[in-house]
Amino acid sequence: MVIVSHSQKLADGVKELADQMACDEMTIVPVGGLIDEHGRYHLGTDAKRIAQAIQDAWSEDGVLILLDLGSAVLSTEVALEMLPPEMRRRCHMSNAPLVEGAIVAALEASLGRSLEEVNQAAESALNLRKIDGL
Amino acid sequence: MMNHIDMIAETGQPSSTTVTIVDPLGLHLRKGKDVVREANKYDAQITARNLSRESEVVNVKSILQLMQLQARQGHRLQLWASGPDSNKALQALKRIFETNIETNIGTME
Repeated sequence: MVIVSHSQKLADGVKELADQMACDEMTIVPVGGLIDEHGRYHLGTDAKRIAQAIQDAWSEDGVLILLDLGSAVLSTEVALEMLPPEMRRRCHMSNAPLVEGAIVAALEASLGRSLEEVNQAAESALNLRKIDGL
Repeated sequence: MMNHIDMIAETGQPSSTTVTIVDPLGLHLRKGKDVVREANKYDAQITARNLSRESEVVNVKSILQLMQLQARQGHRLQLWASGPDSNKALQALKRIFETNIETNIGTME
């Protein structure tokens, strides 16, 4: 699983939470922010770093990519285009909310579910109400 | 001697039991994970309701739904299970709910 955020700190924090739910076989790679030509860090998303993160997280079972918002989607699209087609086919960008989605995805994956099932469970978090019951 | 859970199972109705949350932090995420992992070991359909909040009935195999019970220390939950292994499932879950020792703090299963 890859956690894409505009902020590396946010991506790291989401990974910290998801790791609590995951099993040993799962690799969760957080990626966030941009590094400019002077080596300075900025908020944003960087296709090259996302492509690297996907490779670092690579599993034959596939890679689920969770995103914070906005241009994280665009940068991830570009990142996927950088990857070989056979790799790209096994990557899935999730529509799930970042925090809930990462937690659910990590737990569902640890139960041995397929990439599609994991994503479905994560995306069900879109309908979740935190307060006032269901 | 037959316990309460067994008696309900014999009537053909879903098995049911109640549990009290003992953890001072309430039903938190890590405990929720243990509950969901255990629940997924059984074929039975397992649902729960927070009696103290009069919540909706949720699916115990889903971490998101379980967390929606917003169960604090002292809250009572009713659990239901239907399926051949429902009694075993409820007994195992009751143990987890009512134990205040985390099974895997800082470790991965």
